[in-house]
Amino acid sequence: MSRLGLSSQQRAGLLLRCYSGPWRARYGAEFTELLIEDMTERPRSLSRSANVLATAVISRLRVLVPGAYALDPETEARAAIGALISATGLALALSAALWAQLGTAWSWSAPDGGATAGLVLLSVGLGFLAIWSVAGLALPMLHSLLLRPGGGLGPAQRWCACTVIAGSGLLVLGARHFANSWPGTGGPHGHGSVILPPGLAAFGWAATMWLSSYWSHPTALVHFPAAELMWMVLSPLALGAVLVAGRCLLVSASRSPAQLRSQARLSLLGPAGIFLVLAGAMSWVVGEGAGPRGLFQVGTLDDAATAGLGVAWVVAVLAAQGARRAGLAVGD
Amino acid sequence: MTRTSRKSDPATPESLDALGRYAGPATLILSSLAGGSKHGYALTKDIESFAGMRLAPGTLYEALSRLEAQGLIEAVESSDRRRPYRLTGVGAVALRSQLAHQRRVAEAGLRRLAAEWGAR
Repeated sequence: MSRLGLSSQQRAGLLLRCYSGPWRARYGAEFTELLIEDMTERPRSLSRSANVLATAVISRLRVLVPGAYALDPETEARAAIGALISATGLALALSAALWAQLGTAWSWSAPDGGATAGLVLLSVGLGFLAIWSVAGLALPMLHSLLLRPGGGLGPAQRWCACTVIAGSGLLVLGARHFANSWPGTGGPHGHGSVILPPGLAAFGWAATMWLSSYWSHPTALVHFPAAELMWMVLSPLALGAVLVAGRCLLVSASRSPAQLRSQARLSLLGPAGIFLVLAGAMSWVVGEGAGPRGLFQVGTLDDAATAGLGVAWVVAVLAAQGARRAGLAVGD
Repeated sequence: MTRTSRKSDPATPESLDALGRYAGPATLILSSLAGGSKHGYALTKDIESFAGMRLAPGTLYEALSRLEAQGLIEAVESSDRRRPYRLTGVGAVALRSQLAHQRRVAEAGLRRLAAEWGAR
């Protein structure tokens, strides 16, 4: 038993969760046995945990490379599509937050230079990603889950579906509630922008307040009502739960070889969409000028979000290439 | 840091160069499996006994999975959850080549030591 009261079996299980699904399916049982025997000999070892975590990260990236592990093409393709879903979810969340910030600022005053190009590219990229996510990823998998013979949701999938519905509902209701009463977004809006209605911008702003410069100003936060502070903590948790549960739901859907090949062919659209939003974020972040009244000032969190988009794009490129190579090799 | 490779042994499937930083652990694993098939923990203990170093579980399985993907080792069917691995023919060729190279390096180093520093 560990200090937390966990048995070796439970601790080994937790460490194993760090590896990707396909890797666990192939090596999980035997690796767990090795960990348990190692824990019997060395009950506490920080270096063992660090080693497992480091190699788990390596394996999560390597599983995207066809032939890197002794896995069949279908397993490789499913792993790559799973990684593509993760990268797309991350890109959607980050780009929506940046887009909402720019849109809200624009509803008060028109920007100049990089922020204009940034908002246009972010809008086009977000639309592209949203359509591709629904049409290329979600609908085919939901069709498999619900309509195929022998389909239907298992217990874990039902739990994921409930989490997605509850989390999305909470985000929508909370963002609707706070959109027009938030300091900085409330009151009569300005002239609005050509491509983003002020109401929609305020909704996006309230839904993505976790990416806010208010975190850097504790003196301002002190004056916020408790309900709004709670929303700033709760909304990212709800968003995270929706993304993780949504990914689990989509990845666990069974797909026919034909569906897998079709998704593999379309997979390159994912990195293309992420590239558009990344280009939009970059044109704002590296562009000069904070705009009128400093409304378009770039903060550290915006830099971090843009870096996150960069990481999502690299993972999506690797995953799409892996999905194409492995998916097109899947036979009937 | 620069990566080195042997001019005489390009990174073919029979070479361990393709394993990069896992070539060292891979040599230890193949040397252990040269004495018979073993599962993960038995490999750890055997390597510890003949090489005096313990491969961490993550490193061991990353190297094992790479060796398996290259066809240098293969899993043995087993009802036990602790699946054993054994050396393949290609793996034996790769190990022989790797050890011969290491022996050439060791002999050259020992010769130079003896010439310059004497036998101490």
